[in-house]
Amino acid sequence: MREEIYHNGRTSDEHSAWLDNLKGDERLIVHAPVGHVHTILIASTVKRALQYSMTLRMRSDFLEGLERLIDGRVITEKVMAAIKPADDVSFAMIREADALPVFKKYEVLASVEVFGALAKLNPSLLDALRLCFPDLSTPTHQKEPLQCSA
Amino acid sequence: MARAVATKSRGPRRELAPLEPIDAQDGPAMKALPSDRHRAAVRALYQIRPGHGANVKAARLAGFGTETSTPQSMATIASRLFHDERVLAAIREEDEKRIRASAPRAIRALESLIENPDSRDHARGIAMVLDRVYPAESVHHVKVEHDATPALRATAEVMQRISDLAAKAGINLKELPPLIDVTPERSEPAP
Repeated sequence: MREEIYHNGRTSDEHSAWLDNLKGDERLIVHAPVGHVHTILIASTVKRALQYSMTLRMRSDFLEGLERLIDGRVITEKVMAAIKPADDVSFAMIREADALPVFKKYEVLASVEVFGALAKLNPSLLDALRLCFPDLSTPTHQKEPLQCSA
Repeated sequence: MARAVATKSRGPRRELAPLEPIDAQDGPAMKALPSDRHRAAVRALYQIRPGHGANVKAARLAGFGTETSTPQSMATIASRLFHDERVLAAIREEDEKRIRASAPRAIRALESLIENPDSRDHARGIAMVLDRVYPAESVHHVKVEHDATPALRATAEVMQRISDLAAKAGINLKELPPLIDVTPERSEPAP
């Protein structure tokens, strides 16, 4: 049995067990690529910024930025439309993470604890993530096997 | 041969009729001067032959300085006097008055000019008069083109683009706060 720490204070076996015990949305959050999770968070903060009065130019720039986040494969227009603006608390949480180095920031924001908390404040984040990865909520071994036509 | 000079006694001069008092009024700038000496100094400027030392002479004529004032003192007094803003305003007022009062003589000279065909500037005099009586008419065709189309089109395009982008992102523009439509101005730094 391997005893060395594998990830996040857990040994490899403990981590595997932890992954197996993840349910539903937890599993989705853990397995979703951190980049896409972060993109969803950015979209929510940009939509929050759009709630303020601004010049035509600024509004245009923010909307152009949102459009650039749409890649058409994972972050589709439907996903983008599902994201609601960040509220004060979740925006403050995201801002706090900005102090961290980039990759650490992605890791923290995409963690089950932080993203889960953000999703409780703004459920649309989780809705968007479900739209991005509809299959990730279900463990692979629970999925029905592919039916191959003869 | 000595020329005899006829001497004719004219008798006593007749008494001059008293002049009708002319109540000349100074302008506001002259009235605003602090003393009659200042007013006299301004008037003296027009009596003194212009040139080096004219201001000193005018100041002395107006009663500034004393008999024992040195030329250097008088120069200082005159310099301060004629660089005083109140005195400068009075000089300007007096200039205008004298120019306006010179107009009749200028017109009379112009009349003499145009009456004298032999004068070198006869034609110029006539032209001056005619220019003022019948000013040369010139027609300016000003073509004003109100070409706001590109800007308006650009604004419309931007608005359409914003509308499209907002629709893509699932944002209802009508729910957003109004745009700020101002030109930023630099404000003075707080003290």
